[in-house]
Formats: sequence, structure tokens, C-alpha cells
Amino acid sequence: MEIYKLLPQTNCKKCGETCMGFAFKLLSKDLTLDKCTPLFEEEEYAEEKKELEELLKPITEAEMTETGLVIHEELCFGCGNCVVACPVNVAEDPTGCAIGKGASSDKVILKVENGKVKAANIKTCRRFGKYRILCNACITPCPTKAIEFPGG
Amino acid sequence: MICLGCSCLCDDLDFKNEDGKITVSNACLKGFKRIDSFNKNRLIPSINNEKKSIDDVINKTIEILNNSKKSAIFGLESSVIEAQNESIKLGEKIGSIIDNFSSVHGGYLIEKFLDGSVKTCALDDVRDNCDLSIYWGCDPMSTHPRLMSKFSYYPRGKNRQRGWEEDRNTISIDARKSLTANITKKFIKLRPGSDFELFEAFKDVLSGKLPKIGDKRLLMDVGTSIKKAKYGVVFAGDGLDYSRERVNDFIDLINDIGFKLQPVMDSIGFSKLLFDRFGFINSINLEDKSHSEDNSIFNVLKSDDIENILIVESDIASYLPYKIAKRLKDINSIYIGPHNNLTAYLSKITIPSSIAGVESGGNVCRMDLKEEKAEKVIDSDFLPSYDILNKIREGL
Amino acid sequence: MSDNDLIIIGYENRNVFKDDDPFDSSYTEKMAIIELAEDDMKSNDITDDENVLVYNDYGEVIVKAKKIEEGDVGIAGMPKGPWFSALLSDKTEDFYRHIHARIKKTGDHITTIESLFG
Repeated sequence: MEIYKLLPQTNCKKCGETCMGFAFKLLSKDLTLDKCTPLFEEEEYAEEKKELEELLKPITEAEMTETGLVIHEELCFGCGNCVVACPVNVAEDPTGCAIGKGASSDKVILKVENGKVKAANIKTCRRFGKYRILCNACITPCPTKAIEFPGG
Repeated sequence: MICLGCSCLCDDLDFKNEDGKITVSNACLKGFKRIDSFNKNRLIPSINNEKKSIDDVINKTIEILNNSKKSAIFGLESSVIEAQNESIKLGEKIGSIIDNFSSVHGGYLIEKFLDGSVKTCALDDVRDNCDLSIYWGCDPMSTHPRLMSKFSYYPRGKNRQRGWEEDRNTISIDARKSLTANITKKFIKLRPGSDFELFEAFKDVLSGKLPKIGDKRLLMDVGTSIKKAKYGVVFAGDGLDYSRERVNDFIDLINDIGFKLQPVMDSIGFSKLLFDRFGFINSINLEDKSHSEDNSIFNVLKSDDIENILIVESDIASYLPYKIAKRLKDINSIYIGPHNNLTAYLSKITIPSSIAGVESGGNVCRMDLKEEKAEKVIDSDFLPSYDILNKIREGL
Repeated sequence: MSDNDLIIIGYENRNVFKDDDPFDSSYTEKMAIIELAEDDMKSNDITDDENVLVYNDYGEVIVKAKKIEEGDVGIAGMPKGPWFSALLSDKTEDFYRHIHARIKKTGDHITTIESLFG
């Protein structure tokens, strides 16, 4: 929504989408900001363009997965709180992650390698797919806010 | 692979070495850095900052020990049990003082933990049963990063199947908002040094009275959680140092509320070994097996008659008042350890050792006194510290 | 104790590792700091990343100021290590009390380990 508010909202469809549709595609990384040509060509949007670039920074720069999961590696300490708290990890790895140990299954989403958490199997994340829910189980236990879903 | 990064001794590490490029799964950053440090910042054998051979530095150490009347051995709190035993044998042979980090920080709690004054628990039982953990003056998220994910908060346990959100409650008590306080369900911020007032406030709350200090609602709330808890554990750290003379009141409080105590400290293992052998956890004179505060490193380095000190795998100089740490330069100080640090920098003789649990194996003791066996995973030419200590003793 | 007195709490800096080289510049960056509450920075005319002299009866040291979120006025934090230890008392009875110190903005360089322990 924040992204949508900053777009021209003219629904000119130069990017092939409505402005709302474009906002979603920006979040999902299907489209990039430069596809909105008015934003770059017309001076009246200069400020909005700057704000948008700032807003999208974590998405474009950090390692971003399809669910919008961003891991800030420089903040991660590999404590594994998220690995153990993630309900998918718990379900997929009952004798590993579920009881506090490191991942022992290839099906887990989060696992720690060389002291930093890495994401895989992202399609099984509860934030993904038709029945998605806004699960926060990996964000809440992180003491350094190293994980976020910038899309909300 | 077992991780010796801290006294959690995580046993689920996966180690791969492909042409010198190592990959470690499941270790936290602290544990990984320790393993990955095998080719970084390594200590060089030296005498007065001059590079020597390993035999030279060991022989010089023997010469010094042979000629000195009063020596001390310090450290070993993060060493393998084999090295701890060797240091005791060496100390008994030369009649030296033996001391460790617990004399500087946390010893008063470790003593209570070991002498039966308070109930203790195995970390595996904490995982299976704990429904309320209190972190008092400690920040495991910084010092023991996987304590809460492996044992006390996030894992499912046999009797705690519904996980951390429903089955476990956590409270942090500290003078600053630590990383641990960021994730516990409640946080009580203390004025520095006012732990004792909080002991009193809790006593009031638990006996149904209004607390005299602090956020009354928060304290009442916490009091209710404490009363309801079926398996409560107090994790305590050296934040309580400033109330060390009130340690008995702290222990009384833990006993009153029926909780268990687990100090979050790395020097528990060696303290236990010394306690079992000599009845004291630190500051022991091995000549007559006596204990005195005068034998703590703090006081030993202040005294005039100490001639040499042998420090093993402990960067104590970074924790002592700098005026005391500087004394290492005035006496014959010998440092044994894998990496260069401030203590090594101030020492006259440096003896490099292997990284235990990485380049050499050995037995280790977890904070809850469970023993684990660490294996060697990387080949190296560095001698394990227990071999170095053994060579020194044999050479005397 | 005067109005400018700060209580300094020592803490374990988790970004510092046992195997770190103490003479590496990154070690100084991580260790030679004092965390201050916003109001304490203001009242001492200090901004983020400026150098400050921290001093008391036991010693003095120049470190970098860092603003701390949710900090309390009058309470500062320093990582336990060589710089913090310059402010510690060598008397046991005072060693286990919280450190009091004053701060002053300075244009001088951060104290080096060599100059403290050399």
C-alpha cells in the first residue's frame, strides 16, 4: 500500500499493469521500478521516485525470496531461534529443528550455515501460495531484526 | 561435531572440509568463527617478542619454573578436561597457586550451584519441561547464542509440545535492554546494582503484598507467572556481580519460589573439577591445598612476591583493571593458547597451542555438568595444550 | 558524585570473538566505544561517532560515542575489554561496584592498546 501511494496512480498501463498491480509486482520482484516510465520522465514525480527507491532498497539489494523474506546477513548471528521457531521447519524436521537441534532434513526453510541463516524451500513457507497467512514465527524470535518481510 | 565456542557445547554441528574451504552447519557465528580461525591470528612461539622455536619456549618455561619460588597457574576455564588435569599435576609438582576466571566473575554463584545450596537441572530436562525461564543479569543471546533455541525457550520438549508461543514464558531482568531482553516476553529493567531491592520486591509480591519499588503491575504480573510455573529455571550471569555480597538472599529467593539455578558462565566445568578435588572452585594453593582470596589472580598480580604466572587459554588481561593486567609485563608471564590476544601481548613467553575441538580432541564439560567428547576435525602441527603442559612437567 | 557523573555498565560485545586480533583496526572499532543515551549526548554536546574522553579516578580513555536506543539518562554502556578496563578500580571492594565516570568531547584520537598497556 505504501508503494501504491507513491506511484503516479494514473493507471496509464505503460508498465502493462494498473498502478496497484504494479505495486504488487514490485514487491514480488516480477517487475522493477524503471518500468514505470512516467516516474522517471516527469519531474513532478521526482520526490516520489526517490522515496520509492529508498523503500524498495531492502527488496532490491538484500537476498529476497519469493515470499518476500529478506535476511540481513550482517545482523544475523546464527542463534537458530528462527530455525527452531518456524512451524514448517518443526513439521518437516521433528527430530531436528523441532527439538532445538540444527536442521536434519532437506525440506526445511531456514537453516544455519557458517554462522548465518539461509533460506530454501521457500514455496512451503506459510506466507506463500493460495492459503497464505501472515506468519511471524521467524521474525518475532530474532533479537537483531535480521529477518523481515518488507512487503508486510 | 561438538562445538567448544561456549559452554552450551552444541553437539549437532556438521563439518565439511573441501580443499581447505570449510563449511559448518548449525553452529552459531561464535562457534563458526572459532572453527574458522584455524588459519587466522595464530600465536607465534616467542620470548620477549622475539620469535623462537616451540622447543625453545617450552625449555625456557621449564627453566623459569625451576628457578622460581612462587608461581601461579591461571585460566583453563575453556580448555578440555585433559588440559585441566595436566595443569593440576603441574601445579602440584611446583607447589603453585591455581586459579581461574571464576575468581574474577561469577564464582560466588558457581559455588552455590556446585555445593547443593540450590536445585539444579540438566539442560535436556529444561528443554522437555521448562515453562518459565528467567534471565537475571545475563544475556545468553550474546554470550551463549543457542541456549534459548536449543534448550530454554524455542524448542518443543516432551512435555512442552505446543512450543514457545503457548507453552513457555520468559522474563529478562537486567540493567540494560540486552538482545535477550529483546525477545523475552517480559523485561524488568533494573537500576544498576539494585538487584537486592528486586529480591525484596519479589518476596512481597509472592506473599501477596504490593511491591515497594518498580513497575508494580509488571512485578505483580511476573509474580503470578512465577507462582503458576511448574518447572522454572533462573539463568543467572555476572550482572549479579554487583550484588555478590547478597548472593545468599538470591539463593533463598530461588529456593523460595521452587526454581532451579543455572549460571550462564563458561568457567563452571573447571570450577567443578577443582571443587571435587580440593573443595574449592578457585584461588587454591596447591602446596597445602588451602584456599584464600589472596590466591585470586586479582590479588596475586598485585602482590610483590609472585615471580611467574602461567596462563592457559584465557584472555584474562582484557577483563582485569589495566593497572593489574600491566603487571604481567613485570613478572615472568607465560601464555599458552591458540591465538594472539591482549594477555599474549603482555606476556614474556608465548606458546602456541592447537584449537581444542578443532585441531585436537578431548573431553569437555557443559554448563549443566554434562560431559561431551570433542573430536579433532582439522590436521595441524600445533600441540594440544595438555601436551605442552605435560612436556613442561616432565622437563622439570 | 556530580551531575555529570555517568554509571557505566560493562557488557559482552557479541561482535567481538575470542580469536580476534586485538591489534586489528576492526577490533578497536568494535571495542573502543561508549554507548550513551540521547539526552546525555545532548547535554555533553556530543554527536554520534564523535570521540569522547571518558575519565574517573582510576584512569582515562578516548573512545567513540554511540547513541543507544531506549537508553536511560545517566547510564552508559561499554564493552568489557581493554578500554573498559582502563576505568576499573584495582581495589577488590570497588571492582565489584558500578563504574562512575565523566565524559568530555575531544578532537583527539582513540586511545590505542599500545599506549594503554605499553
